[in-house]
Amino acid sequence: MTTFALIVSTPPTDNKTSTALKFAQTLVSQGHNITGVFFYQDGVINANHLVQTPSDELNLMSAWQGFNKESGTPLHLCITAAERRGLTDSLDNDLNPNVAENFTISGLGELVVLTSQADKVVQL
Amino acid sequence: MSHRVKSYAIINTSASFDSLKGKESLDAALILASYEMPVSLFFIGDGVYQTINAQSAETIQAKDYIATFKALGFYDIEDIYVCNDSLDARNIATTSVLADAQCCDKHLIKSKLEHCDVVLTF
Amino acid sequence: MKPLPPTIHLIRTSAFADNKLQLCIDTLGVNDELFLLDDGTYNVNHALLTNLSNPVYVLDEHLTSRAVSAAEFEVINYVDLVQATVKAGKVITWQ
Repeated sequence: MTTFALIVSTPPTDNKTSTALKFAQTLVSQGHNITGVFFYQDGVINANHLVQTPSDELNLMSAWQGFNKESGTPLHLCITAAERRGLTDSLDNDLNPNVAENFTISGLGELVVLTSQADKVVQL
Repeated sequence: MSHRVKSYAIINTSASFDSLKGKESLDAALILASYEMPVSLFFIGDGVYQTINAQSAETIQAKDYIATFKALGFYDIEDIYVCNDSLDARNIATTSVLADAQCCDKHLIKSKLEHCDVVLTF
Repeated sequence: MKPLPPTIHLIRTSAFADNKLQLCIDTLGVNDELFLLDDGTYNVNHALLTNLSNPVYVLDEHLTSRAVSAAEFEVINYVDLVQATVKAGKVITWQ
Protein backbone atom coordinates (compact mmCIF):
# COMPACT_ATOMS: atom_id res chain seq x y z
CA MET A 1 0.00 0.00 0.00
CA THR A 2 1.24 3.43 -0.93
CA THR A 3 0.06 6.66 0.65
CA PHE A 4 -0.80 9.48 -1.75
CA ALA A 5 -1.67 13.15 -1.43
CA LEU A 6 -3.65 14.65 -4.31
CA ILE A 7 -3.85 18.28 -5.35
CA VAL A 8 -6.76 19.24 -7.59
CA SER A 9 -6.37 22.54 -9.46
CA THR A 10 -9.10 22.40 -12.09
CA PRO A 11 -12.74 23.57 -11.79
CA PRO A 12 -15.85 21.40 -12.25
CA THR A 13 -16.32 22.94 -15.70
CA ASP A 14 -13.13 21.23 -16.87
CA ASN A 15 -13.19 17.55 -17.85
CA LYS A 16 -9.68 17.23 -16.37
CA THR A 17 -11.38 17.27 -12.98
CA SER A 18 -13.19 14.08 -13.89
CA THR A 19 -9.75 12.58 -14.62
CA ALA A 20 -8.60 13.60 -11.14
CA LEU A 21 -11.66 11.97 -9.56
CA LYS A 22 -11.18 8.73 -11.49
CA PHE A 23 -7.52 8.64 -10.55
CA ALA A 24 -8.48 9.08 -6.88
CA GLN A 25 -11.15 6.37 -7.11
CA THR A 26 -8.71 3.98 -8.77
CA LEU A 27 -6.09 4.60 -6.07
CA VAL A 28 -8.60 3.60 -3.41
CA SER A 29 -9.94 0.61 -5.35
CA GLN A 30 -6.37 -0.64 -5.74
CA GLY A 31 -5.90 -0.58 -1.96
CA HIS A 32 -3.91 2.62 -1.66
CA ASN A 33 -4.46 5.33 0.91
CA ILE A 34 -4.96 9.06 0.28
CA THR A 35 -4.03 11.45 3.11
CA GLY A 36 -6.37 13.96 1.53
CA VAL A 37 -7.42 15.73 -1.62
CA PHE A 38 -6.35 19.37 -1.47
CA PHE A 39 -8.38 21.68 -3.70
CA TYR A 40 -6.32 24.66 -4.78
CA GLN A 41 -6.50 27.34 -7.50
CA ASP A 42 -9.69 26.88 -9.57
CA GLY A 43 -10.10 23.44 -7.98
CA VAL A 44 -11.86 25.07 -5.01
CA ILE A 45 -14.92 25.72 -7.21
CA ASN A 46 -15.68 21.99 -6.96
CA ALA A 47 -16.95 22.72 -3.44
CA ASN A 48 -19.44 25.44 -4.39
CA HIS A 49 -22.90 24.01 -3.80
CA LEU A 50 -24.44 26.85 -5.81
CA VAL A 51 -22.91 25.47 -9.00
CA GLN A 52 -25.78 24.10 -11.08
CA THR A 53 -24.81 21.11 -13.19
CA PRO A 54 -27.31 20.07 -15.89
CA SER A 55 -28.99 16.85 -14.81
CA ASP A 56 -27.61 14.85 -17.74
CA GLU A 57 -24.00 15.77 -16.91
CA LEU A 58 -21.62 14.48 -14.25
CA ASN A 59 -22.06 16.54 -11.09
CA LEU A 60 -18.49 16.65 -9.80
CA MET A 61 -19.40 18.18 -6.45
CA SER A 62 -21.74 15.26 -5.70
CA ALA A 63 -19.17 12.83 -7.06
CA TRP A 64 -16.45 14.19 -4.75
CA GLN A 65 -18.90 14.04 -1.84
CA GLY A 66 -19.67 10.42 -2.70
CA PHE A 67 -15.95 9.69 -2.89
CA ASN A 68 -15.48 11.21 0.56
CA LYS A 69 -18.34 9.17 2.04
CA GLU A 70 -17.24 5.90 0.48
CA SER A 71 -13.50 6.16 1.07
CA GLY A 72 -13.29 8.47 4.07
CA THR A 73 -10.72 10.55 2.17
CA PRO A 74 -10.73 14.13 3.49
CA LEU A 75 -11.48 16.89 0.97
CA HIS A 76 -9.65 20.10 1.91
CA LEU A 77 -10.22 23.56 0.44
CA CYS A 78 -7.68 26.34 0.49
CA ILE A 79 -9.72 29.13 2.07
CA THR A 80 -7.72 31.97 0.48
CA ALA A 81 -8.14 30.50 -3.00
CA ALA A 82 -11.80 29.75 -2.22
CA GLU A 83 -12.79 33.20 -0.93
CA ARG A 84 -11.46 34.98 -3.98
CA ARG A 85 -13.60 32.61 -6.09
CA GLY A 86 -16.84 33.30 -4.24
CA LEU A 87 -16.85 30.57 -1.61
CA THR A 88 -17.43 31.25 2.04
CA ASP A 89 -18.28 29.46 5.25
CA SER A 90 -18.87 32.73 7.07
CA LEU A 91 -22.21 33.83 8.52
CA ASP A 92 -20.97 37.40 8.96
CA ASN A 93 -22.13 40.40 6.98
CA ASP A 94 -25.07 38.60 5.41
CA LEU A 95 -22.79 36.19 3.58
CA ASN A 96 -24.45 32.94 2.61
CA PRO A 97 -22.23 29.96 3.31
CA ASN A 98 -21.93 27.94 0.12
CA VAL A 99 -19.24 25.36 0.82
CA ALA A 100 -20.77 21.95 0.20
CA GLU A 101 -20.94 19.32 2.93
CA ASN A 102 -18.04 16.88 3.14
CA PHE A 103 -15.52 19.56 2.16
CA THR A 104 -13.29 20.93 4.92
CA ILE A 105 -12.17 24.54 4.95
CA SER A 106 -8.41 24.59 5.40
CA GLY A 107 -5.41 26.70 4.59
CA LEU A 108 -2.28 26.10 2.61
CA GLY A 109 -0.74 24.69 5.79
CA GLU A 110 -2.90 21.63 5.21
CA LEU A 111 -1.18 21.20 1.83
CA VAL A 112 2.12 20.94 3.68
CA VAL A 113 0.70 18.43 6.18
CA LEU A 114 -0.99 16.22 3.56
CA THR A 115 2.00 16.14 1.23
CA SER A 116 4.59 15.62 3.95
CA GLN A 117 2.68 12.58 5.25
CA ALA A 118 2.39 10.97 1.82
CA ASP A 119 4.78 8.71 -0.07
CA LYS A 120 3.68 10.23 -3.39
CA VAL A 121 2.16 13.55 -4.33
CA VAL A 122 0.11 13.87 -7.50
CA GLN A 123 -1.13 17.23 -8.75
CA LEU A 124 -4.08 16.97 -11.13
CA MET B 1 4.60 6.22 5.16
CA SER B 2 7.75 8.30 5.02
CA HIS B 3 8.14 11.00 7.64
CA ARG B 4 11.51 12.39 6.69
CA VAL B 5 11.45 15.99 5.58
CA LYS B 6 10.68 16.21 1.88
CA SER B 7 12.26 18.69 -0.47
CA TYR B 8 9.89 20.58 -2.73
CA ALA B 9 10.37 22.10 -6.16
CA ILE B 10 7.94 24.59 -7.58
CA ILE B 11 8.10 25.09 -11.34
CA ASN B 12 6.62 28.28 -12.73
CA THR B 13 5.72 28.20 -16.40
CA SER B 14 3.20 31.05 -16.52
CA ALA B 15 3.76 34.76 -17.12
CA SER B 16 3.15 37.29 -14.36
CA PHE B 17 -0.31 38.78 -14.47
CA ASP B 18 -2.93 37.29 -16.78
CA SER B 19 -3.67 34.43 -14.39
CA LEU B 20 -3.33 33.94 -10.65
CA LYS B 21 -0.84 31.13 -11.13
CA GLY B 22 2.26 33.13 -10.21
CA LYS B 23 0.61 34.54 -7.08
CA GLU B 24 -0.83 31.21 -5.94
CA SER B 25 2.47 29.49 -6.64
CA LEU B 26 4.32 32.01 -4.49
CA ASP B 27 1.75 31.61 -1.68
CA ALA B 28 2.36 27.86 -1.70
CA ALA B 29 6.15 28.35 -1.69
CA LEU B 30 6.01 30.74 1.27
CA ILE B 31 3.81 28.41 3.32
CA LEU B 32 6.08 25.44 2.61
CA ALA B 33 9.08 27.50 3.66
CA SER B 34 7.31 28.71 6.82
CA TYR B 35 6.87 25.03 7.78
CA GLU B 36 10.65 24.71 7.28
CA MET B 37 10.36 22.53 4.22
CA PRO B 38 13.25 22.95 1.77
CA VAL B 39 11.82 24.69 -1.30
CA SER B 40 13.47 25.41 -4.64
CA LEU B 41 11.87 27.66 -7.22
CA PHE B 42 12.24 27.18 -10.96
CA PHE B 43 11.20 29.63 -13.66
CA ILE B 44 11.04 28.15 -17.14
CA GLY B 45 9.19 28.94 -20.36
CA ASP B 46 6.94 31.99 -19.90
CA GLY B 47 7.59 31.66 -16.15
CA VAL B 48 10.83 33.62 -16.68
CA TYR B 49 8.71 36.73 -17.27
CA GLN B 50 7.85 36.67 -13.55
CA THR B 51 11.49 37.31 -12.65
CA ILE B 52 11.96 40.57 -14.58
CA ASN B 53 12.87 43.38 -12.15
CA ALA B 54 11.34 46.37 -13.93
CA GLN B 55 7.73 45.10 -13.95
CA SER B 56 5.07 47.44 -12.54
CA ALA B 57 1.97 45.54 -11.54
CA GLU B 58 0.28 48.72 -10.30
CA THR B 59 0.10 50.09 -13.86
CA ILE B 60 -2.56 47.51 -14.61
CA GLN B 61 -4.06 47.33 -11.09
CA ALA B 62 -2.54 43.88 -10.57
CA LYS B 63 -1.27 42.58 -7.25
CA ASP B 64 2.47 43.22 -6.95
CA TYR B 65 3.42 39.78 -5.65
CA ILE B 66 6.64 40.12 -7.66
CA ALA B 67 7.96 42.51 -4.97
CA THR B 68 7.96 39.57 -2.54
CA PHE B 69 10.59 37.79 -4.65
CA LYS B 70 13.18 40.16 -3.20
CA ALA B 71 12.27 38.89 0.29
CA LEU B 72 12.53 35.16 -0.48
CA GLY B 73 15.84 35.04 1.42
CA PHE B 74 13.99 35.94 4.63
CA TYR B 75 11.90 32.80 4.13
CA ASP B 76 15.08 30.76 3.59
CA ILE B 77 14.18 30.22 -0.06
CA GLU B 78 17.59 30.56 -1.64
CA ASP B 79 17.52 28.04 -4.46
CA ILE B 80 15.94 30.03 -7.26
CA TYR B 81 16.69 28.99 -10.82
CA VAL B 82 15.80 30.80 -14.02
CA CYS B 83 16.20 29.01 -17.34
CA ASN B 84 18.77 30.70 -19.57
CA ASP B 85 17.41 29.00 -22.67
CA SER B 86 13.95 30.45 -21.96
CA LEU B 87 15.47 33.91 -21.31
CA ASP B 88 17.43 33.79 -24.57
CA ALA B 89 14.41 32.71 -26.57
CA ARG B 90 12.51 35.73 -25.20
CA ASN B 91 15.34 38.22 -25.69
CA ILE B 92 15.66 38.89 -21.95
CA ALA B 93 19.09 39.76 -20.54
CA THR B 94 20.18 37.88 -17.42
CA THR B 95 20.96 41.30 -15.91
CA SER B 96 17.24 42.24 -15.97
CA VAL B 97 16.10 39.39 -13.74
CA LEU B 98 15.90 38.93 -9.99
CA ALA B 99 19.42 39.26 -8.57
CA ASP B 100 18.91 36.45 -6.03
CA ALA B 101 18.13 34.00 -8.80
CA GLN B 102 20.66 31.82 -10.55
CA CYS B 103 20.39 31.81 -14.33
CA CYS B 104 21.29 28.37 -15.57
CA ASP B 105 20.78 26.07 -18.53
CA LYS B 106 18.09 23.42 -18.76
CA HIS B 107 20.56 20.63 -17.99
CA LEU B 108 21.29 22.07 -14.55
CA ILE B 109 17.56 22.57 -13.98
CA LYS B 110 16.99 18.95 -14.90
CA SER B 111 19.60 17.71 -12.42
CA LYS B 112 18.29 19.98 -9.63
CA LEU B 113 14.75 18.65 -10.20
CA GLU B 114 15.97 15.06 -10.00
CA HIS B 115 16.92 15.58 -6.37
CA CYS B 116 13.62 17.09 -5.20
CA ASP B 117 11.02 14.77 -3.64
CA VAL B 118 7.88 16.67 -4.64
CA VAL B 119 7.52 18.79 -7.76
CA LEU B 120 4.56 21.11 -8.27
CA THR B 121 3.90 23.14 -11.41
CA PHE B 122 2.05 26.42 -11.79
CA MET C 1 25.35 5.84 -6.14
CA LYS C 2 22.06 4.06 -6.61
CA PRO C 3 20.21 5.29 -9.73
CA LEU C 4 17.18 7.40 -8.95
CA PRO C 5 13.81 5.79 -9.69
CA PRO C 6 12.27 7.29 -12.84
CA THR C 7 10.06 10.33 -12.66
CA ILE C 8 6.76 10.07 -14.46
CA HIS C 9 5.50 13.10 -16.31
CA LEU C 10 1.79 13.67 -16.87
CA ILE C 11 1.01 15.68 -20.00
CA ARG C 12 -2.55 16.96 -20.08
CA THR C 13 -2.56 19.54 -22.86
CA SER C 14 -1.98 19.51 -26.60
CA ALA C 15 1.44 20.64 -27.79
CA PHE C 16 -0.40 22.15 -30.76
CA ALA C 17 -1.78 24.65 -28.22
CA ASP C 18 0.98 25.24 -25.65
CA ASN C 19 4.61 24.39 -24.85
CA LYS C 20 4.13 22.14 -21.79
CA LEU C 21 5.29 19.05 -23.67
CA GLN C 22 8.40 20.92 -24.84
CA LEU C 23 9.17 22.13 -21.30
CA CYS C 24 8.73 18.59 -20.04
CA ILE C 25 11.05 17.14 -22.69
CA ASP C 26 13.67 19.78 -21.80
CA THR C 27 13.92 18.38 -18.27
CA LEU C 28 13.38 14.70 -19.05
CA GLY C 29 15.78 12.19 -17.50
CA VAL C 30 16.87 9.17 -19.57
CA ASN C 31 14.72 6.75 -17.59
CA ASP C 32 11.72 9.03 -17.20
CA GLU C 33 8.34 8.07 -18.62
CA LEU C 34 5.63 10.16 -20.26
CA PHE C 35 1.92 9.64 -19.71
CA LEU C 36 -0.51 11.37 -22.04
CA LEU C 37 -3.90 12.20 -20.52
CA ASP C 38 -6.82 14.46 -21.39
CA ASP C 39 -5.98 16.74 -24.37
CA GLY C 40 -2.40 15.52 -23.93
CA THR C 41 -3.46 12.45 -25.91
CA TYR C 42 -3.48 14.60 -29.09
CA ASN C 43 0.33 14.65 -28.77
CA VAL C 44 0.52 11.13 -30.20
CA ASN C 45 0.60 12.88 -33.58
CA HIS C 46 2.97 15.69 -32.57
CA ALA C 47 6.47 15.86 -34.06
CA LEU C 48 7.99 16.34 -30.58
CA LEU C 49 7.34 12.67 -29.81
CA THR C 50 8.66 11.31 -33.09
CA ASN C 51 12.26 10.83 -31.99
CA LEU C 52 11.82 10.62 -28.26
CA SER C 53 13.49 7.53 -26.80
CA ASN C 54 11.63 7.61 -23.46
CA PRO C 55 8.62 5.34 -22.94
CA VAL C 56 5.29 7.01 -23.75
CA TYR C 57 1.95 5.70 -22.48
CA VAL C 58 -1.50 6.95 -23.44
CA LEU C 59 -4.71 6.64 -21.43
CA ASP C 60 -7.18 4.49 -23.33
CA GLU C 61 -10.44 6.27 -22.59
CA HIS C 62 -9.01 9.70 -23.34
CA LEU C 63 -7.87 8.47 -26.75
CA THR C 64 -11.12 6.70 -27.53
CA SER C 65 -13.28 9.66 -26.49
CA ARG C 66 -11.32 11.91 -28.86
CA ALA C 67 -11.27 9.40 -31.75
CA VAL C 68 -7.47 9.45 -31.71
CA SER C 69 -5.50 6.31 -32.47
CA ALA C 70 -2.02 5.68 -31.15
CA ALA C 71 -0.61 2.66 -32.92
CA GLU C 72 2.97 3.48 -31.94
CA PHE C 73 2.39 3.94 -28.23
CA GLU C 74 1.35 1.69 -25.40
CA VAL C 75 -2.27 2.26 -24.42
CA ILE C 76 -3.06 1.91 -20.71
CA ASN C 77 -5.96 2.22 -18.27
CA TYR C 78 -6.33 3.94 -14.88
CA VAL C 79 -5.10 0.87 -12.99
CA ASP C 80 -1.90 0.88 -15.07
CA LEU C 81 -1.49 4.59 -14.38
CA VAL C 82 -1.89 4.05 -10.64
CA GLN C 83 0.66 1.22 -10.69
CA ALA C 84 3.11 3.43 -12.58
CA THR C 85 2.77 6.23 -10.01
CA VAL C 86 3.34 3.73 -7.20
CA LYS C 87 6.61 2.60 -8.80
CA ALA C 88 7.78 6.07 -9.81
CA GLY C 89 10.17 8.16 -7.76
CA LYS C 90 7.85 11.12 -8.22
CA VAL C 91 5.16 12.47 -10.50
CA ILE C 92 5.35 15.81 -12.30
CA THR C 93 2.13 17.14 -13.81
CA TRP C 94 2.72 19.74 -16.47
CA GLN C 95 -0.46 21.70 -15.78
